[in-house]
Amino acid sequence: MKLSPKGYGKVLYEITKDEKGKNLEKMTKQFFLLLAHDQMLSKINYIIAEFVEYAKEMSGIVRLEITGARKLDQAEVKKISKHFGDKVEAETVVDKSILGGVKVKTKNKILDASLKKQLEKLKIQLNKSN
Amino acid sequence: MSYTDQVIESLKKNIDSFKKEVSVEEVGAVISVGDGIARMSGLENCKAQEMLEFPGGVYGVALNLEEETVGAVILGDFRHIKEGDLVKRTGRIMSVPVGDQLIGRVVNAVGIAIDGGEEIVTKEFYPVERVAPGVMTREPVNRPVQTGIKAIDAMIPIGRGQRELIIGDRQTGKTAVAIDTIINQKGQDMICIYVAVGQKESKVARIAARLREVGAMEYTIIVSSGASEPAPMSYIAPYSGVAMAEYFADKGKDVLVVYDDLTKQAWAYREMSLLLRRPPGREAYPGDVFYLHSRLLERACNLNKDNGGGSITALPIIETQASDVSAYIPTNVISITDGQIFLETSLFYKGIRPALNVGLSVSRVGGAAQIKPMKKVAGKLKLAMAQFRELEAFAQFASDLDPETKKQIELGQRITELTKQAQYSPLPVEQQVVSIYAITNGFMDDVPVEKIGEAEKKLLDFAVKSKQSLLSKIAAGQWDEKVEEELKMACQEFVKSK
Repeated sequence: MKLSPKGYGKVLYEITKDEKGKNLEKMTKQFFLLLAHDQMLSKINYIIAEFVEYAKEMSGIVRLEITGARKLDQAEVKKISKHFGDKVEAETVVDKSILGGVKVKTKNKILDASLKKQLEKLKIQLNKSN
Repeated sequence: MSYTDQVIESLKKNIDSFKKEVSVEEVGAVISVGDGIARMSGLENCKAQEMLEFPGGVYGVALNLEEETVGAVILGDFRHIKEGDLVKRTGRIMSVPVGDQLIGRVVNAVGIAIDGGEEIVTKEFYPVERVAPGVMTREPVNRPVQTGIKAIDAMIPIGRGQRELIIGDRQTGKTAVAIDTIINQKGQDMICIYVAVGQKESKVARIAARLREVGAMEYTIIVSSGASEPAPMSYIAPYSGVAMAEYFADKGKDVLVVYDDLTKQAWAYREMSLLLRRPPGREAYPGDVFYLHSRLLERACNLNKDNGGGSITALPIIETQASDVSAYIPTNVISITDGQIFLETSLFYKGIRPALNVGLSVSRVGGAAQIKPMKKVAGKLKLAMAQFRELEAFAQFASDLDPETKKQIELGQRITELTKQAQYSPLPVEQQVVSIYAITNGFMDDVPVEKIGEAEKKLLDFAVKSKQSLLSKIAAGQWDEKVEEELKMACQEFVKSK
């Protein structure tokens, strides 16, 4: 049965995670034969990207995207990353429109601690009380 | 303190009391979007039929929960949504605002006002999808819904809590029957909800204007999902309508809901299902199109005293193509409802309006939903019409027939003439009783068939002017020998005075 690239990435991780040396080589070769059989070799780039993401997730590495209004220095990034775990890979983005604070995005959740969001909330509250 | 100072003080207080809160929201990213459907990755904890927030404040409903993706229908304009946009979970299952504030307003399928009036703010929200009341919470239908249309109230009576289907080709007067019923609910302690699904906006505007003119908007809500709105809105509109009705029924009130029409809702659902890649079945409808209508109509009920005693009466409308009642959707809905009112084009053009086919129309509740006077007086009407239909073909040979047959044919012709009624002129039930009694007991036998309408009008004018007490007794449901004698004498008086 043909899987999605994500599926093949998972398969590659599962079959190679506990293998080393000669066995690892054997498993990887088998994997490529499988891809050839399923005619999925053309999608190899996607499969490898999904494999890397899945492997990182499985090893407990948290990937973060931190957005700040100005460029954040190493100390600040480290401070934020500490709250999300020991093994954190953080990517930083500069977006002036959030005005201040930070927005932290993990794979499926977003923590919006930006100044823009707080001002929006304040606006709603002031409108309601009137 | 000057006014400006007061305002500044109040603003300062509000800002001080502002609590800084940061929350974590679950998000997904749009993989593909188009035709009102969006597919997202992520949203791992999304629930079925949960509302999702798209950028731009547009909401969507998650309908397809798959292994890696979530498929959602977008309730509104989707042209600004692009691939990669973040979509947030709201945690709320699809629900609409409900409450007294909605009465007299025209709203869209999600409860937003579209009549140009002020914004509707309600305290309560009811879920659009809800399990119908169970067997033990219901009681048999025993109170009438007076439509004001003689043919229906006499021969195909509708009760509170019943589902009666109005079915016919286009332009046969289906909406007219529903609107006349709504107009006749004035003073009947009934709240009406008219759900317009996929109708022309001009038609809905005309209906709203007419209802406002006769004062019917004081107890009516119009829920409209026009022809130019996206299909998901037409899919949800009937469910929103019944959710609003359930609010009132839970408080012990009686509600009448008209769905105009369910054929267009089925089309909208088919459109959505095909775009969501759900497998098509007969006539390309999805496999659960029966469930689409059955769960909607099952929510119409007559609750027993322990559950408030309220009721929801449903009048779904289905449009047939070339009178084909054995097509897929009509047969589905006929098997769900407690009867149907059949409107035919041929009768319409013959001049019989409302174009009811009394032979094929049925009300499975029948006499239990009629007040006593009407039951007694109209009991023989349906049978007389049935006998007339058998003999109708012989009407051309009237001169060659025996007196018995001639009498039956003539009676049938008179009753047919009697059931003709103008649009927007519903008749109160007590006047209907007088009219039917006069015809079936020979008081109009010397009136030529074409003049019956005129004669009836004169009779009713006479009764309204001079027999108010008798009319009130009939309206209250009284019927015994004395009342019948009074009515007989009134008719004799009228005949003499002509």
